[in-house]
Amino acid sequence: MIDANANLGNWPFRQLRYTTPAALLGKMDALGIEQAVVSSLENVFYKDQLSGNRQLYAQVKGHVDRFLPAFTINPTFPGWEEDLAICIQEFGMRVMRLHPNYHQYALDSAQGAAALEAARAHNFTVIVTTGIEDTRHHHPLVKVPDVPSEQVALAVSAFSDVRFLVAAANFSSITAIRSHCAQPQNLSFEVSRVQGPVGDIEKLCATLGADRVLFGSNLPLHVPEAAKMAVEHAKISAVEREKIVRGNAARLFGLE
Amino acid sequence: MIIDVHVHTRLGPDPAGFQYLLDQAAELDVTLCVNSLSPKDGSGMAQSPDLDEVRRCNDWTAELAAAHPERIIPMWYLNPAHGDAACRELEERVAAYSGHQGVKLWVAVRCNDPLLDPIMRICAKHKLPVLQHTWFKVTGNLPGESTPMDLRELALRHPDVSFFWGHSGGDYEYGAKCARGLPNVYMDLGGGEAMNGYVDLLVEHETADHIVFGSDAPGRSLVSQLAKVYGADISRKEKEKILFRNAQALFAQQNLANGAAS
Repeated sequence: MIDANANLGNWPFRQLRYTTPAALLGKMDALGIEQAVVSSLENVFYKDQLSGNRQLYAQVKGHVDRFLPAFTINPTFPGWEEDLAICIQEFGMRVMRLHPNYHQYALDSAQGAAALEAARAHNFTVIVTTGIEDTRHHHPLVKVPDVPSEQVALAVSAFSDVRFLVAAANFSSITAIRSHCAQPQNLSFEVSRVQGPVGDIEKLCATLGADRVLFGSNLPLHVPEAAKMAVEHAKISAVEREKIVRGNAARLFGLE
Repeated sequence: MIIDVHVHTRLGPDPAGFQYLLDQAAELDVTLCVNSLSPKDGSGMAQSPDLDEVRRCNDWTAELAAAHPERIIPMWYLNPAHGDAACRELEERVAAYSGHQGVKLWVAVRCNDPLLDPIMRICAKHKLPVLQHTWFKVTGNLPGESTPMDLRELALRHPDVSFFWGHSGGDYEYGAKCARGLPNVYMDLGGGEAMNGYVDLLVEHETADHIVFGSDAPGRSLVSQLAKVYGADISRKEKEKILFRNAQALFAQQNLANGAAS
């Protein structure tokens, strides 16, 4: 299995398990997850993304067979382009993570477009985290709405040659994003926060096609068993299941 | 064996969706405690349905329970705003049904309202567990939506009633603290996302003796909610208590007026 959406690091609002490389690897081993695409969880809140990215690189470089780092870029912060160059030249960056809502820009704005232009220029896969956890439970001082589905659709359409993975979206958000995209050949989704309704994975496969659905855990914020069991118990073919748990991610991230 | 204390059906045709749930429940050996809510204009759910609508909901629940007695435990849905009529509705349902059963209360009236007291006395008499919806939303609650603190008040006022604490309060960290020290409450796991540490935290504050499995299906998938338990760092014995033993013990205590509960 390949986990298309995981994180390393701490979260300001509660204690979590599996925040370190060793703990995350232990959990992956227990569940049969061979590889994970990981980002810095702290970078959701750090102003200086480079510090989180540098830490992430240090954490994963001893486990290149297990972790593929997705470095986070905030195109609203001064010097982001120089920091991006460091991520490329020193860390070998291949995957870009964006948090448009927490970093306070619209994905279809000039700033969002600048980040996506860079992704296009360097042939990155782009992970857009649209909602990292249930907005009803946010800290009262940090209430962050999900990224609007229209924004995602506009960016996906405008950058049709960039490969997008929407991460941590729930079922209704995925459905809304899909409905706004005419021909989303460059758009995939991971299922960590889908968690319903009943028959969710089957419905996503029917709507999006199994080629566009990826296993993801959103570790350490969620328990990975939720997505794992959802895929395992879905009434889909063995071929579709293999695509979701491994094949699609291998293709999207060049892990084959 | 698993007992799911929090399952919905909706009036109106959704045979494919409910059949999917029944099939998966059979596959995983899950007993479903089912309540019916009233659709509002064919989309959302009526928050304070009239008495006729409540009866139609319970007729549908009774029909499902009769059709699948091995798989479904009915949870009679009531609107406490109906006063004596709500009590009569409950008494009639209890008299007419011979198996395990309970009560479901949603968002018609906040649960610390004295309107609930006559209903609670009937629940105490028949040992009917009460699934009371609770949620503490930083985005704002519905007008009649109970917070965990509202349920704490109700549970303290009715120590002879057992409560399934709906959604563990939604914000489970908030709910866990509100429920501490109450011997007659059981945290229902259904509905929220499968957060890392969800069940572990509830076990720390309530112990596994006061947690029950719920899914909130079909809005949530059964398996995503089961993952909350399977993904917790607790013992197998604690998981068994949560998955079925606690609810099983509560239903076994029922001493219904018609004496036919098994």
